[in-house]
Amino acid sequence: MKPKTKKKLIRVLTLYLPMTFFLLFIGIPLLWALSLSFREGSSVIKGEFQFLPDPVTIANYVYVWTRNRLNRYFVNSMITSFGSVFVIGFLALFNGYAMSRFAFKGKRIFMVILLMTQMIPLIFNMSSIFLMMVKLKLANSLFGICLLHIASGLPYNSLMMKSFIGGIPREIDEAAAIDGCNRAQIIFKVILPAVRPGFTTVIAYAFITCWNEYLLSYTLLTDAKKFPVSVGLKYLVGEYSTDYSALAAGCIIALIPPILLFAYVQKHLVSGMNAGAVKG
Amino acid sequence: MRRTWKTAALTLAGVLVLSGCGSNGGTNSGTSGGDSPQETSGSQETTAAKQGNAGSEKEPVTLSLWADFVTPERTRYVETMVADYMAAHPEVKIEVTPLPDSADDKIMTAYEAGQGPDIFLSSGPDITSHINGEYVIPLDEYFENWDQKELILPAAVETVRQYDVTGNNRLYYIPNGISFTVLWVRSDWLKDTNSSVDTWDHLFEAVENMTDKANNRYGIAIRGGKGGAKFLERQMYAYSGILSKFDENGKCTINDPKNVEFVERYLGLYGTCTAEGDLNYGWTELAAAFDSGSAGMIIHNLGSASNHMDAFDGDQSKFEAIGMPLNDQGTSVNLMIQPGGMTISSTCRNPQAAFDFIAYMTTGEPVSQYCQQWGVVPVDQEILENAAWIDEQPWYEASAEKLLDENTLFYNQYSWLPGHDDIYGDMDTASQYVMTGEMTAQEMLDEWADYLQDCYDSYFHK
Repeated sequence: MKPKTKKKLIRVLTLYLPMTFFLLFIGIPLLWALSLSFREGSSVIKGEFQFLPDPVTIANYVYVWTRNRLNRYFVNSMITSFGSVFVIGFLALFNGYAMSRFAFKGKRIFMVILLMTQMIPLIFNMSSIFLMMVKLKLANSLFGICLLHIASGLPYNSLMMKSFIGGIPREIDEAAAIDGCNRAQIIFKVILPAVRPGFTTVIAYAFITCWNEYLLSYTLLTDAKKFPVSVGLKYLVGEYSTDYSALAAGCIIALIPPILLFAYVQKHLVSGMNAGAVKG
Repeated sequence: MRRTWKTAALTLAGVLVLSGCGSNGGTNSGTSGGDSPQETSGSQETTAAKQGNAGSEKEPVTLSLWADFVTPERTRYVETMVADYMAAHPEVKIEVTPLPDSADDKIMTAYEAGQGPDIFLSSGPDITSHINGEYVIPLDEYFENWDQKELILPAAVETVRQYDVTGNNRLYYIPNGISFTVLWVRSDWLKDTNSSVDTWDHLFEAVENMTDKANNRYGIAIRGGKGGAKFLERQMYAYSGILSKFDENGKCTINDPKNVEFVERYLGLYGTCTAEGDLNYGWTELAAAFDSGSAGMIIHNLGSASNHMDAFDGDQSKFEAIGMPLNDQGTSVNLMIQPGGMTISSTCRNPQAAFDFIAYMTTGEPVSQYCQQWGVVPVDQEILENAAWIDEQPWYEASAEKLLDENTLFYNQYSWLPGHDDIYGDMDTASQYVMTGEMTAQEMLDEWADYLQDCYDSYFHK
């Protein structure tokens, strides 16, 4: 075998074949859900195998959007996700900058505490969170949900930002200061452009977390009109029967914002992950 | 620079304003005004007595209603019924929160924080934990004064009283509908094989007759996976005819020789008259086996009727629901699966108004429609005998007949016993061992009986 052919073969076996396998592993369930969403519900219950739906129907989309009120839940999710994500992004930027650039008393403990908040399961704190939000009169409000998203998302994202900012030499800050920049100008005019990939990563990660969040919203909101998409989809799972076609249509709709976001930030996301990977 | 700051500030302000749009700052309007929940939660009956007349004085009343296991169709039903009620009672405002799934975590968290709903409509309430926590009030006084109480099936009321874990036999909710465990059977297969399932012996014969392994057709599908033990228990009591899980001396009856005999015969069908996959079947797989035509019989409750209707394109000549077959004593023993109903929370400020609404929803047209939506049999005897929709759907008609038949008996499951349900997971696994021959039915039921006996003895301090 020629060395060139051998090299190609190794590449196929070690790279393309595993990647194809993973693509199929991840892609088939998604394609199956897509196919299911265009099928008639009765054909699903009967267990008929159809990869390409026949007949094709958009009735499931109409049903979940209107009768299951996904239109309302969708707006709620947009409000809570976007309402939280930018606050998380900017506060994480400030936190990350402070942890990366300043030496202050208890810094190490502060960072350990930030990490520890991520290790306690949410359900463990649910009663106390509920009581706290009731006392603050925020239990049944989207604003309260935003605050909780911010509180739960901030620690991890701050640590991520610290890693990204740690990759930028301090000399750049000093040069900017010599040129007359104050602290805010250094952060927004020098640091933010330099960590844009990392900042994008934080925004994307925070958005996905907020978009998929279920437990807090379900427990704290007592007005069903305020439920997010993640809770709204649960209505399609009945006590004894599940409308799989409608559920698949709902999931596809719920996937659209994260997919659009990832399509937009993909390039930054990859470099962002790499940028933070080797710096402490 | 100024532009960047402006943009950042505007973005932040925008998202905060936007996110604040949905805020009303409140939590549960049903408990607004009057005493704080903490003040009232301690003494349930005193609270109820103190505030009992609020509804009848025609003062404006706001009640919060949560309903569990709600689908889009059920939501519409609840909202319509509530709108009708509010139109007839302008002084009452009811705020509905439909909840998907059992909502147990949500409601317990809310109860603990004193923010539970005034009324909880549950299709199978976990009432014992609500009673234990004193989150709900007993309704005996309201029930006794209710002029339509005679309409409610006495057996259903008695079943609900069994859930009073305080041992006082009190009524914490008014049942609205019940579900039966039934045999969903392929009528056409029974006809083709000239079989019947009127008695247990005939059932075992029918399973063998309907099995045609060469054509991937099995007489029965056994739920060997999650939830299997619960159904196995119902079937063994139906087979043995024993009417209580504990006899008069407090001894557990689950390992009675007749029950052991049933488990040996029933799980012995695995592999011979069932598919190999039955070992791990949960509800979804069980339904799929029946609906796709690979199994001639499954055991489930009435809630799956709409699934089968869709699967068989509404052809009712292909399938039917049959109540538990007659045992040696000539009786059909069933479990009255925890009836649905509405509770009133101990933080409710207008229990009389709440009960009036419950009374409205538990009788007549509202309960008839509820039962249709939830796939259960009404316990309002007038509806049970006269509703047209029951006559139109054979499985409901058969269930109604069964419910009114004097040979139909119900066994006392003692489901309220602390720890009672915790053994089911282990028994699901044990039944799999019995199916594969790694354990005997006697060993499995002895283990089950020992566990339940411990629960019983520790509860009654033996």
